Amino acid sequence: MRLLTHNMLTSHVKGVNNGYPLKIEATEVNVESEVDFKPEFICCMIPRIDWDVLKKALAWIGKADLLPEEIVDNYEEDEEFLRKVHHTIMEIEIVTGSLICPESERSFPINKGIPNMLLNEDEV
Amino acid sequence: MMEGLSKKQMKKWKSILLKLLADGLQAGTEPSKTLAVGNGGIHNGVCPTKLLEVLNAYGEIEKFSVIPKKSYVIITYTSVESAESIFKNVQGTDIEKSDGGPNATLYFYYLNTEINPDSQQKAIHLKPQGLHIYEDFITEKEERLLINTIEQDLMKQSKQCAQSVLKHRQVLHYGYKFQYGTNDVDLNDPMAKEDIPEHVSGVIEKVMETELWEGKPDQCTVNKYEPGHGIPFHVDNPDAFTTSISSLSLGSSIVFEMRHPIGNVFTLLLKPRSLLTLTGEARYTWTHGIKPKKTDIVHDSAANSEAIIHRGVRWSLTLRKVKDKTSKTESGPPMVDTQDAVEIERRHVHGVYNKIASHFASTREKPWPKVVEFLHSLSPHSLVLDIGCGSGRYLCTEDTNHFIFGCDRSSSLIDICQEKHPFVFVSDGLNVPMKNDYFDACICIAVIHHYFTAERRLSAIKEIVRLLRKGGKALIQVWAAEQVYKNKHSAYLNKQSVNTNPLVENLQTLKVDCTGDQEQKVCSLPIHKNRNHFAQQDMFVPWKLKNSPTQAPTNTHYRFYHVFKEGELEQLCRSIDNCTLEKSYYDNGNWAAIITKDL
Repeated sequence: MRLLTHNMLTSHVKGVNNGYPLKIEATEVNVESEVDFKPEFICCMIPRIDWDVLKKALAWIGKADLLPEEIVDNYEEDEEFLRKVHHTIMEIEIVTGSLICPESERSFPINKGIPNMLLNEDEV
Repeated sequence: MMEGLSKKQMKKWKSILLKLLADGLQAGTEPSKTLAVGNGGIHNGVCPTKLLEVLNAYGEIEKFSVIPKKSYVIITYTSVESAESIFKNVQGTDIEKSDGGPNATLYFYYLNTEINPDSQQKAIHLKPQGLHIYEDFITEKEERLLINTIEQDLMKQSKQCAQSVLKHRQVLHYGYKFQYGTNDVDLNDPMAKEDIPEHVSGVIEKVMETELWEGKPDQCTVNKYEPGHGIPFHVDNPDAFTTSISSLSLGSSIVFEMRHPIGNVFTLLLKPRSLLTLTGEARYTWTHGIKPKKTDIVHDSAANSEAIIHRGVRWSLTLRKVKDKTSKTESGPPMVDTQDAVEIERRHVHGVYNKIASHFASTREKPWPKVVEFLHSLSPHSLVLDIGCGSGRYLCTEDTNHFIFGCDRSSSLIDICQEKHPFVFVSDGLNVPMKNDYFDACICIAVIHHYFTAERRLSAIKEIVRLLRKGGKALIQVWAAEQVYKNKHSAYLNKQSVNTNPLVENLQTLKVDCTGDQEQKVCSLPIHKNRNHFAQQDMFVPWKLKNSPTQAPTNTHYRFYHVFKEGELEQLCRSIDNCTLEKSYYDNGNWAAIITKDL
């Protein structure tokens, strides 16, 4: 699971009012993947992602230092910054672990990089 | 039989045949004295005298009819041999046109002119299964009484309210109130049920005697039609009403038409005092309607010509029985609760896809061009969600600059997607773990037809609307019940099946145990014959699993499908408050709709 996906996912267990963000418990993380860097795309994504949640996600996997605290000004012209964002949202992969609903503590497994968000019938 | 015709000419011959059949002529290749000459009509620019010169050369002519506004003529020889001779020798040859335009090519068809004793009706093999007609169902005296009572009630009603519900018709309802907005009856409305008056219950008693009803009609709609009024083609709501619909016609004759999804048309002259009852295929598969005309043309097979009849005022008394939504129905899918639907989908959708994933993926590599077109139409850097992405066909479309996430119910299929595009997750389409109002666009291709109930299919579309940001748009595509549309066959049909429609009775059925709360329920649906027309909307479609392309199939799995009829997808979309249907179309055996979320 890439962190961009994590940034969008929310818990949808019945009765939960605030299921976002899902806490990450990772047992295996891969930072070696390579995805083509598209600066224009990253610029478009920055306003659409939740920066604080991205920071939290990095902290949960022990990689808090990969990004600065705040989004830099004029990031459109800051290639180094854009590359850092690109790496964190597009390339870091949670291979094995779980996503935990902040309210119900229901755990969603991540295996082979894929989060399984299926709910049981009584949770729908 | 028709050597000497090129491929192109055979195609043309067939398309004219369909038009002749649609006009109610029993046209074909079975030798007969009577022939239709396609492209030989005045309407096509052919001079009858010139044509007769050609036709005379092959034998003695008994009768020659020029049909108004048609591009064919009908000719009867005194002997079958003469007809056979011209059929063989002049088939596909040209004749000059009187307007000096390019020559017309003549095509010949034998016509079966035997009159059915029920008169004005067409051959048994073309008649819809489940259609029953009783002429002289009531006496003339009974008819006059009914018309008078109806007219009095209409008068009373018009004094009570300012305007009638429908522009073109004057309507009365007895029993439960029929609501045209939803084509349904509101069982919860305590004012909804009125007593059925005596003159109608008299008719109901008589209708019960025909033994074509299960249970008793409890809803009656009376319509008054002035000449020129018609009824748009439709199937009576299968969810609101039960298996039989009866209609008593009063006052005037009218031509009543039925259309089958594969293209057959059946017309009949409905005389006053006749009762028409629709059951089975006639009730659920064929649509019925009346063309908005002031006159009707009827074929008089004996005289081999046409007669024009002028419509008078007509009243129809239509009887229906409102469905008890908690009980099982005979036709269509069994009524099941959510738990059962989930279980059937688990076994016959997700379970199957998990088993057939790699074989399935290998057959689903080619993207549908119109889906790609939709993706290309999005603004740069749009965020898109592919709900039910399967093996990821649309996750890596070239030359687009949108960003797409994929989700699917099948973990085996998502495993396959992952390799090409890692922004995927496993999720149910009815409950996607993403926030409201987020995505610029969604696509949902070949997914919704897997949900077992109409309710779940609607929920799936509502979920899509929830996920879209305001102004965002979605493309939904489903398998069509109609594998032939506007005379074109889909790529799904194989050549042999193009002109045959498998009958529901001849198909094997699959029984599925649905474990409900109280009792063991069994649901039984037909097994579809692959590459053929769909015999009904709800069925199991077999998948013969192969471990490799060269091996023989090892196992057959059955996937549940509900294929959509024309207008069905649009109706679902339109029933959602905060979305607008932008466009809908037919694409090679599928119905598609593009919706936007309102601002």
